[in-house]
Amino acid sequence: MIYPEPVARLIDALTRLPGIGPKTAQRLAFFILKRPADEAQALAGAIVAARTQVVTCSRCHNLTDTDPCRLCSDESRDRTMLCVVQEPRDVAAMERTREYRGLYHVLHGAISPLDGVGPDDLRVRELVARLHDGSVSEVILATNPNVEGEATALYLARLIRSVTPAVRVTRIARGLPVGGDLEYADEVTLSKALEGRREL
Amino acid sequence: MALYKVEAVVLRTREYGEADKIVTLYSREEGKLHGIAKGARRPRSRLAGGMQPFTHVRLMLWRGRNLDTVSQCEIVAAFGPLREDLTRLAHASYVVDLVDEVTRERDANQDLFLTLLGTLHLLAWDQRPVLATRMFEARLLVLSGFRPVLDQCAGCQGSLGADGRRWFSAAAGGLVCPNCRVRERHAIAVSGGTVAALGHLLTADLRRLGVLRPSTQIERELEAVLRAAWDYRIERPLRSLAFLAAVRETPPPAKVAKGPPAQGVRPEED
Ligand SMILES: [Zn+2]
Ligand SMILES: [Zn+2]
Repeated sequence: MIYPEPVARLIDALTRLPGIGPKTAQRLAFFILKRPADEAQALAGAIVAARTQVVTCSRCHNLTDTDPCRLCSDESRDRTMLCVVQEPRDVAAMERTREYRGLYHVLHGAISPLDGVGPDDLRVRELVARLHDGSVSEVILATNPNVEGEATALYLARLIRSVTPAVRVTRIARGLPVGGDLEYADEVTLSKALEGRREL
Repeated sequence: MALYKVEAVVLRTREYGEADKIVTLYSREEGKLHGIAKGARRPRSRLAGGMQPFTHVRLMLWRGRNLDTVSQCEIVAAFGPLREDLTRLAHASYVVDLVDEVTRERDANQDLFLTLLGTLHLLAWDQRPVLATRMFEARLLVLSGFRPVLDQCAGCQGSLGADGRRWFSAAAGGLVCPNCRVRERHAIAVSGGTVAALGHLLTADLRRLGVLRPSTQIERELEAVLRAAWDYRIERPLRSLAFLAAVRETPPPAKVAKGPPAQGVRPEED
């Protein structure tokens, strides 16, 4: 079927979203067209605002609209603990447990030997730099419990031990089922895993 | 749609959609194949544990138009140590990367499958993962039809001469005599001991890897020869080699005495 050019463009843009195929994109496009104009305006505005106002925090590299982010500037957080996660969504997952009161460091990915993603492609140098002032006494490695996450944790443990031996390095326990993504874990599983972390 | 069964090793996985994975498998029955494992990234998925690199699995798949769908997965061996030791993990990554690079889809080779399985066993539990990797590189040359010529000159088929020192040329496909060596500019000098060790790696039973005790010098030469042989056969540098190099550059620090662990924290042995 041939659509008017603006509709075709909208469908094309929606298809680029993860998990959205051409059929879903069509359905979403026509849903948007049927709704009042101000709703579409609000949606477009929200997308533009999120894209332009969100930056990465210069300390923890989490996504934020203030720099440093709210977590980094919160004086009540424990500055001796640093929890290392792969993605910004993992910070949200850890925060939902309400167990952890330290700071975070977001790597923006995981080492994947088979895809050519190495330490230099992640915020690893920035992590090491944060450890040099001596305020952090423990690093908790909370990468995903799959091969890439384990490779990342093993590599970071080795690196941190060699450059800042005084820092204790722990790994969240394998209370999490292997092979999955951290963000899908429920709060109970995740806080259990945090409780049972160990040296690496 | 037809349901079929394979025994396979997971070579690599790629995230797909919300929670799915596309997996590359090397199976005993059909050689390399791709499948989609729906929901495999959710912790509670019954496919989550098995659909990870290096895992030896038995699978049921639905034949699809483009991609086959994994319907059931039973783990035969998870090779846990490959995920708990950086060196073993880096070597295993290189081994599966090499298999993925040199094999074609649906081109079964049972010997290759068994060699891959045996190598993963060695990489997980043998004391010398580096040597296991050398053995795999050598065996894969044979299985891919590139067995290096060691008993005569690979250039002119003449005698190699009496001298104990030898030259290996990846382009010629084996050792070359002093005359041919002049033309083979990239030939690598190797000792008689390295030639003997390479002969052992090419033919011996995988379980007999232990009898080989190469010196550091021989180990270095074996690595150079097999690296050259594979670099000559494959077009692009393997990505996993960069990680292997990064791991080598970050050696484990010397053991330091630690205080008693805090409550709820178990120090890990490594
Ligand atoms: Zn921050
Ligand atoms: Zn010759």
